[in-house]
Amino acid sequence: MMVDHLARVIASDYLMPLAFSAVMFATWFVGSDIGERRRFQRSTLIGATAIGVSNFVVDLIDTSINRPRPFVELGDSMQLIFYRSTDPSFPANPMVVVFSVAMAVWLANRRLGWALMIAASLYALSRVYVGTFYPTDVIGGAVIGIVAALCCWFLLELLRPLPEILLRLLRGFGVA
Amino acid sequence: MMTEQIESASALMVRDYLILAFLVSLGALQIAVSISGLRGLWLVPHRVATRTLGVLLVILGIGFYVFAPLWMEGPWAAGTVIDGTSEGREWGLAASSEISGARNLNDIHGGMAGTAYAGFFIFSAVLATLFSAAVGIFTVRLSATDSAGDDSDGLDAMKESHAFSALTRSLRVLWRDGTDDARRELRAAPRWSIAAQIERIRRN
Repeated sequence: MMVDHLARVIASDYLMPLAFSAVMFATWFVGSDIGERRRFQRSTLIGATAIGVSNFVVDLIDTSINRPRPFVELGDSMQLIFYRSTDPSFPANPMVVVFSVAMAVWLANRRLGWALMIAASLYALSRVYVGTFYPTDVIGGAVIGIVAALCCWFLLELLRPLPEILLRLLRGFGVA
Repeated sequence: MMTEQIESASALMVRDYLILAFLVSLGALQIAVSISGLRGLWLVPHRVATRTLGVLLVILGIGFYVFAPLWMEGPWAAGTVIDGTSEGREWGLAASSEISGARNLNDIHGGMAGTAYAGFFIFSAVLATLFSAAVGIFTVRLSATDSAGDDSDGLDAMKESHAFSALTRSLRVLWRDGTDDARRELRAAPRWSIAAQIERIRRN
């Protein structure tokens, strides 16, 4: 079925995470002046920090809530069209990553941020469709990712001017 | 035998992913620098051509990764993905109907772990930047825009000059203005920031 093939490609481990990483990497270089570029570069810093923080949160949750994957619990009542993942189901780790990036970019550029949010939602939907996650797993992952990005934004604001000094230093080495 | 197959599968996945990540990050970089006009990182000396090349590189990277199992032998899903497993597969070419699932391999069966994806992407992105900077030396010379007298620094310096000229200029500006810039940033910090609070306590 065409939808199955499409869902398997979108749900794969490489395509969407790579697309999000590429967008985050590219936004570092976008901006017609220093002010605009700095806004995007701050969002890259927020995104990268949020991925680290949210993965730590996921590890903590995994040790306390070891929710089995839907194909383990539901068995033959559902058709799995993806490989059998062996790690806990809740929260969906890939969603944590893509929603962290989408939120971080949204803070710098609303239009691009919304586009990434839609792409991340499509990724979440495909992961549920192929049978590797419950809907609540991907919702939980999205919430953790978004909250982590907002917390990191607040942290960077609180730590001002340290991020600005870091970016100034990187500018001195020609990379910001 | 099974362990050997997993190791070969893993090496194949890593190699192909590195090619994909390099092409996609190089393409994304070209699109970004064509938008911001950073000529020092352009692969070709023309804005529209740089952007078009960027889009083509992204398409080429994804196309290679998705369709390579059709002509390259490997541990492709080969139909086993239908029953949700990724082990015990035959080593060979994938059929076109299996393409969508061919790369979906669990990391315990030769696929890659999430941290490996992240690490290899960062490596590829750095490589793509260095490659663009190296090629940029020639594209800037071809477009005859190198202006060493300009006082801009950082990425801005690459609007008119190549990366290595921009680096020396940026270091010079950092040495000259770095301390003043840091002080200015410190003064501009909002009063609720930790730095401003410490400064207030220190004064009192």
